[in-house]
Amino acid sequence: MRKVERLVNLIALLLDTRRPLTLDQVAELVPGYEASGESLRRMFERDKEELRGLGVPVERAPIDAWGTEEGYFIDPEAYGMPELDLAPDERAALALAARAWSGATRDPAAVAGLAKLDLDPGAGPDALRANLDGASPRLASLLEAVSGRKRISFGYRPPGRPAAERTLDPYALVHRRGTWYVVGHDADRDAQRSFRVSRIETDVRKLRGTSRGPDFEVPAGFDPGKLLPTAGEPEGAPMALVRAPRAAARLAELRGAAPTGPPRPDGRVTLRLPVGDREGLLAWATGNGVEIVEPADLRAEAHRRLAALAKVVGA
Amino acid sequence: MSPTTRGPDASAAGRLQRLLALVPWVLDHPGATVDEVCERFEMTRETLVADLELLYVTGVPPYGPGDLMEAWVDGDKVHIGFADWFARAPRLTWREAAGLYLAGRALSALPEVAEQGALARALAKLEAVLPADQLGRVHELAGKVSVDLEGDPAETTHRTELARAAAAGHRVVLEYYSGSRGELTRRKVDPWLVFSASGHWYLSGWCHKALGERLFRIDRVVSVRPTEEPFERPAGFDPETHGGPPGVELFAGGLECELDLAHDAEWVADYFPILHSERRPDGRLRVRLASHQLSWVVRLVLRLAPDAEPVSPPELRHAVAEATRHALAAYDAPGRV
Repeated sequence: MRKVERLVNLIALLLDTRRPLTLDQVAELVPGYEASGESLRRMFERDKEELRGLGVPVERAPIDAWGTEEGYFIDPEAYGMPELDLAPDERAALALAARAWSGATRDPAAVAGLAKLDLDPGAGPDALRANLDGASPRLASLLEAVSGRKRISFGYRPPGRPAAERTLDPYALVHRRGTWYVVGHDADRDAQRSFRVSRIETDVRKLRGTSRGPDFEVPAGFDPGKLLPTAGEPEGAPMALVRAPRAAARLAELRGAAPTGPPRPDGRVTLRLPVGDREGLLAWATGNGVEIVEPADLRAEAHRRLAALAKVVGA
Repeated sequence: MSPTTRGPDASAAGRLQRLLALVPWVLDHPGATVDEVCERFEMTRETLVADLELLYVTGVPPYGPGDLMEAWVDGDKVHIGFADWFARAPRLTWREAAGLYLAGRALSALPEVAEQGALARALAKLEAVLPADQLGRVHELAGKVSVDLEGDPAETTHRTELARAAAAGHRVVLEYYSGSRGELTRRKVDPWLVFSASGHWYLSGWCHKALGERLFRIDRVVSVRPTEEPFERPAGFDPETHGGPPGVELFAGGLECELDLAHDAEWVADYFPILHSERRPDGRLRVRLASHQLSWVVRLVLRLAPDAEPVSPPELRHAVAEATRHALAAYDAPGRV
C-alpha cells in the first residue's frame, strides 16, 4: 500500500467518523498501518504532521468521559475552505496575485492552491499581468525559515567564485527588480549579508531540524533594504560627469541625471548623475556611446575597457 | 523536514495536495474534460489517469459498497463519484495563504491596481476567512518579506498611464528610446497588454510605425501621450501568449551571431534567449544568439567590454571595431569639460 493511498484513506476515515477513533481503530481500518506498538505510533505521528503541513487539521479528543484514552478526528468545518464570496472583478484580481506568486515559487502546490479558491489561472485584469519571477523552488523553504526564524545552511555560488557552504540566520526576504534576496546574519562571517536566491545551488537545510522553537531573534530596527546592492543613493554620494548622446541623455534625465547646460554643437549633452553602482555606470556608458568625464578613475577604467576591446577586434 | 524538500516524501505530499484539490474541483465542474483538468492542474494525461486509478481504490474503510470512490475517464470526460467527504477543498496551507497575501499586497501598491479597488476587497475577504493563527503568521511574515514591483518614479508614471490606456482601449503616442540603435523614436501604439517579466515592465501592442506587433520596455519610454482614439485588440487575443518575456521566437530568422564570453559576461547566456552555447578550450563560453539588428549585438559587446569577443559573422566584428574606434576617440582626445 503506497503512502499517498494510506493518507487519502486516513483523511476520508477521519472526516467521515462521527466520534474520535483510537490509534488501534485507525490501524485496523486503514490498510498500510501494519506496524504495531511504538513504531505504529511513530508512523501515525509522522502522517499526522504531514497532513497538518498540508493544512489538514487532525484533532485529538478523549473518547470517553474518563479521558483515559484519546482518539482522532477531522472536523469537516475546520477542514473545508470557506466560500470567499468574491465578485467577478475581485476574483480576477486575486487570480492576478496568485499567478504572480506561482511564477515566483514554481511550486507545484501553488497550482493546488489556485484550484482550492477556484481561481482560473488565466483570469486577471485583462490588460495587466505581473510575475514575481527570477525566483527558484528554494523560495518556499526560505519563506518557512524566515517565518519560523530557523537557522539554515546552503551551497552558494558568488559570481566568479566557486560555490561554498553558508550558514545564515535569515531575517527577511526581499524582491527587487525581478531578483529575490535573502538577507540576514551570516554565522560564519559574523556579519549581516544579502544573498541572491538564484545563486543558491543546493536545497536549503534547517540546521536544527528537530527543535521546534525559533533559533534566533531579528534585531530591533533591522532594515533589509540597507543590505541590498541596489539601495538608494545616500546624501553626498559620489557624482559622475558624463557626455551622452541626446537620446540616451533624455532617458537618463528621467532618472534624475541633471544636464549642466544646453546640448553641445555635436548634439551631446553633459550630465551630472550619482555614480551609484560602478559596474552599472561603466556598462551603461560603454554600451550607449556615453563618455565618462569624471571621476578620473572611472574615466580611466572605461578607457581601459574600450582599448582592450579594440585590441581584441583589431580596431 | 519541510514538505518542499525534494525526495519521495515531497512527491507524496505534492500529489496528495493535488488530489485533495482535484476531487472537489471536478465535482464542482461536472462534465470537465481530460484536457480541462490537465490544463487546470498542469499535469499530463498519464498523471491524471494514475491519480484517478489511485482514487478508485480509496475511500472510507471498511470499503463496503458505496464506501469506495468512483474515478475514471469516460470518453474524454473525467468522472468522480461517491467522494462526498472530499466535496470541499481543504483550507489553504499557511504558505499558500502567505503567497497570495504577499503577492496581493505588492500588486496593491501599483497605482493602476489600487485605483480599481478589487484586489484590496479580495484580500480583505481572504483575511476574513483565514484561521486566527494562520492570519497572525501571515501578517508577521508580511513584515519580513518586502516585494517591490514598482520601478523608479518615472517608470511608474508611464506604466500607470499605459495600463489605463490599455484598460480603456485608447491608442497612445510613445516617445521611445530604441536600445538597439540608441535613438529616440515617436510612434503611435495600440497598447494591448502591460506586463512584468524578468525584472522589467513591458508593453506589448501594435506599432503603427513598424506596422507590426512590438514589445516595449517601459523603462525606455520617455513620454506617453494619451489619445481618445479607440482601438480593438485582435480577435481571440490571449494575454498568456503575449505576456511573456522576449523569447527566442522573437528573434527567429534574424542574424545569427557568435560571441565568446569571459566569466564576468557569462550572465548573458542566462539573460538573453540564446540558441546554443559551448565551453571553449580557453575556458570561455561561446554562445550563439539571433537578433534582427546587428546594432543591438554591437551595443551588447561594447557594454560587456572587454569580456565579450565577437566571433562571427565578420560584419559583426567590423561593426564592433568601428563603434569601438568611435567611442575611444572621445577618450583619446584631451579631457575637456
